[in-house]
Amino acid sequence: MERRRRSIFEIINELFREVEERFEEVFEEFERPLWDPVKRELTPLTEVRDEYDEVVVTADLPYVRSLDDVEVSIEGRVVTIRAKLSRPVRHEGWAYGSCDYDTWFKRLTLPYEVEPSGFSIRFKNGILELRLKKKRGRLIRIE
Amino acid sequence: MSVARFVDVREVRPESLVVGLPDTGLVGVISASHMIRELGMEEVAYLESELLPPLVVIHDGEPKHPVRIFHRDGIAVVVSEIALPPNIVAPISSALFEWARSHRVKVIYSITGLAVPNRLDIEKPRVYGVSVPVELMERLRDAGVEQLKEGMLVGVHALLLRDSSKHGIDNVVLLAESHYAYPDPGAAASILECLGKHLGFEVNLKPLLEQAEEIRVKARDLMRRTAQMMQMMEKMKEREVPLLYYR
Repeated sequence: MERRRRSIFEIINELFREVEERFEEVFEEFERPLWDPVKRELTPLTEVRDEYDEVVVTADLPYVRSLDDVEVSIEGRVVTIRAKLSRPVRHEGWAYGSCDYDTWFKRLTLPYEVEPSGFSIRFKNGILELRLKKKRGRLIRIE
Repeated sequence: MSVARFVDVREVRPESLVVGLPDTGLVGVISASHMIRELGMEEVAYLESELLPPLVVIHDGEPKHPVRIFHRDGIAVVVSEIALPPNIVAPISSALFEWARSHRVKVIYSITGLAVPNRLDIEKPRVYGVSVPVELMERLRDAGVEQLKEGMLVGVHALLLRDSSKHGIDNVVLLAESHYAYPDPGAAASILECLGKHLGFEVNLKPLLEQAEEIRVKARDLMRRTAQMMQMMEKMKEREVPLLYYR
């Protein structure tokens, strides 16, 4: 089957889309408020580490008591974490008003494709740790 | 005029200056804040610099400088409520030496975290130390501090350690095993236990540990900004192994 050549406009549009996505990721990481009084959600601090054949995602979830209160979903390279606080946390400030927060919520994009079923999960002292297996590439035989 | 300087609001003569600036796991800031509250310290100076972001912090309706020095019973504590940009690291280190010299401080103690990947499995973080002169470590060992033998340090405490002999002021850096970019009140408690034994003060660590979750929630904004600054400062170099070619 013959591949259709992309026009210069399609290539530029794709580049713009990539830049926008990257910008949104940076904004998400550094500028988005960590308190959402409308949804009563808190954004947890997260870390993503590259460890050999695994990607390790951790999230700091104070006031969460057990893994039963945590929901994790993985779709492609997107990991979504939602967790219930054992009791609401009240925060008062001029920027957000006065509000009780009861949920942790974070959606993050992984730097690698991962195997959909190859993961382990643990939860200790309010910290969630996900170990995800990186998708294997094709093995090149050297003769 | 210097790029950064501390302005006194009260005259004091401390023997020790404890530096708790935002860094790994916010260990320094959490420890310093707890000391200030528990020991009932009073504000004695603030940092003035054009390199600081244009802001004030407001407490009980009163505007405050974000970087301040507190004091009680011969111990001064410097703490920052904002993440410090990399370009202020050298000026703030010079300003601290200048303030310490003019107030006849004998020893500067920098308190911070030492990021360890297995922090999740550590119940009670160990505290490591490095000092100038090296002999100071003998006394710190009695307080439960282990000597940091190899490694690299990055940040204000690295400059304080590097330049202390030039300024004629002894310097100790205390590092508790901690998370890298999560606020770590447990590591702060370990540091305060050792520092209290060494300097002869007692702080109740129970409230710090009981409020650990609250601190972790409230310190997220500062931790996120600090992590951003640490990245710009190449803080990850602390995990690299220095080449041992000569002694």
